Amino acid sequence: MAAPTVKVALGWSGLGLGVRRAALRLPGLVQVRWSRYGPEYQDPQTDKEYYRKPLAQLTEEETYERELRKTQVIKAAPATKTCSVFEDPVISKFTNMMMKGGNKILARSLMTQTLEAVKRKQFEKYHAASAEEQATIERNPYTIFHQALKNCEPVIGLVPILKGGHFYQEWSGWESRAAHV
Amino acid sequence: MAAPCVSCGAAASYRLFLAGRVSFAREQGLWKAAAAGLQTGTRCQILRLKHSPAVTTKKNVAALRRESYTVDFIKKQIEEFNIGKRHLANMMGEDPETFTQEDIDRAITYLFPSGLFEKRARPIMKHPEEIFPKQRAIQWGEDGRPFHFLFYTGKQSYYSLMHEAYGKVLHVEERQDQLRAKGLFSEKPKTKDPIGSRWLIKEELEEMLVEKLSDQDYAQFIRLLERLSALPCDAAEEEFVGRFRRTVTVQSKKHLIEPLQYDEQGMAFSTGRGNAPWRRGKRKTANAEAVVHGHGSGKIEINGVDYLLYFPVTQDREQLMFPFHFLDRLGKHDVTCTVSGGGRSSQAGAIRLAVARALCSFITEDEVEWMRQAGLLTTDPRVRERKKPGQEGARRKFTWKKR
Repeated sequence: MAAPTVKVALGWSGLGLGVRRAALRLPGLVQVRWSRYGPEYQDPQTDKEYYRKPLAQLTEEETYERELRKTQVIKAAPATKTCSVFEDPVISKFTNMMMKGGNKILARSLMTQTLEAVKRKQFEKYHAASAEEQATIERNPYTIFHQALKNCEPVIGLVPILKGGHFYQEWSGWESRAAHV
Repeated sequence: MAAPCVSCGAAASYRLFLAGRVSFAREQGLWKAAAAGLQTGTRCQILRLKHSPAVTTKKNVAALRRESYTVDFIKKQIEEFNIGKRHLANMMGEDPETFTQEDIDRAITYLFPSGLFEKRARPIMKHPEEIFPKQRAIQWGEDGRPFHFLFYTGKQSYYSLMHEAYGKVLHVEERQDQLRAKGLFSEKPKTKDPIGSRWLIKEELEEMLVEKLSDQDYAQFIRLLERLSALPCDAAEEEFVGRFRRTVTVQSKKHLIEPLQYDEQGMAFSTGRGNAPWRRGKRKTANAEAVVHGHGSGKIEINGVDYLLYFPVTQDREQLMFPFHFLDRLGKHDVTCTVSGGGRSSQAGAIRLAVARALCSFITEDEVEWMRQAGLLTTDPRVRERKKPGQEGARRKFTWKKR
């Protein structure tokens, strides 16, 4: 997570106790985008395999990183993260974006119903198809979802190109561009 | 003042420094308060309460801002601190010779209990070296000539330090060349301690040198030190480099793990702090207490109700499973817990924390560290942000209307 942006507000100083401030302080101005965690807190690593890896197989960088993490304070794992194999970060993100008014139960149930419906449809197709076609039918709803998401990504986008001293916005392929976060 | 009697330990002029005041506004000076002293006998004289605030009238403020602490003043403060320490030891009935700083802190918190939340605003009594900022003595003699040959660089301590460090680098390289000429040189790889110490940060270095540094100066200095530490050094150079390294605490050592205890049936269960055999967990306003039994079958009972009935939502049950699944102990423990307050998600989070803490007694130290790095042992500090006046919610503002 990026450091909290320093958006300052004049006047309002109603900060509760225990609220952490970012390092930058300007006299007379109060920071607005704060977090309950201080800047030194690191994100938790919930992947079981990361820890189960035997020490002999680690590279130097990984050993260094392990040692470094021992000295760092770690944030609490959020309620949506587990070490379960069934958890998919893309699906979780999509569910959160679908959610309205904080109704996570509804969003998640809709998501699971959709995935189940996709799976059922694919299985019907599979059972109705011949042996050669069965090999081509994808039945895992998660892979279908990921592929669908990839299909929705833009192929071309506007890129500023310098011509004759001016920057013109021109259409160009987006595969070469770094992931637009 | 009449001669004070020994029994009451009179002539006490304790200086209690409000550290907050000094660090926030050092130039305004400090206020002194002489304590009234003990009056064990009628023969003892009642000491007057001396209260002399540093800033009396507005006229003096400008003058006081330029005031710096002279060497004599600091010396006097140190003497008074030592005397005050002895009197404090006397008051607390302890031996003045072996009265350490921790004893002083304890005595002050006992004699002056403060309910202030800001720890820096509470009364403290520390050595003047820690309270008054380090200041430079006059750098030149009576004839106006500076003492140090690098005075006119503006950052004499910094440049003299760089000088010294570079001199050491040259010395080590010269030694290496000599060894190589004799043929006795052996390429020994330097084993560097990966984590456990870190370089001084810029603020610490500034404090050490009592000089303002720029980021480039600091970076240059660290680069030079790294270069020096990469070469094969002997004890003197190691000691020089060691002066600029600070140890880094290992976080996992801070947690106290309760040992495992066994109940009547011989079944192992983990207990918590105090007399109650529970481990606590908190999330928002939910509080949970859990007992984890070894040799179970994966049954979880919450407030007397099975977990499947108490948490109909999958996400909450996943949270309960998380610590067990992480340690590969899914069907091996029984949990009995009580929870109150909060909503369904915060109750689940509180139970998860309590269960993770209770499991610490069953597992190895490495696994505890893994749990900590997975975020299972940290209390989530996020709470609901209050609504502010002039806004509709905590962050949401009222609809902006142009006219």
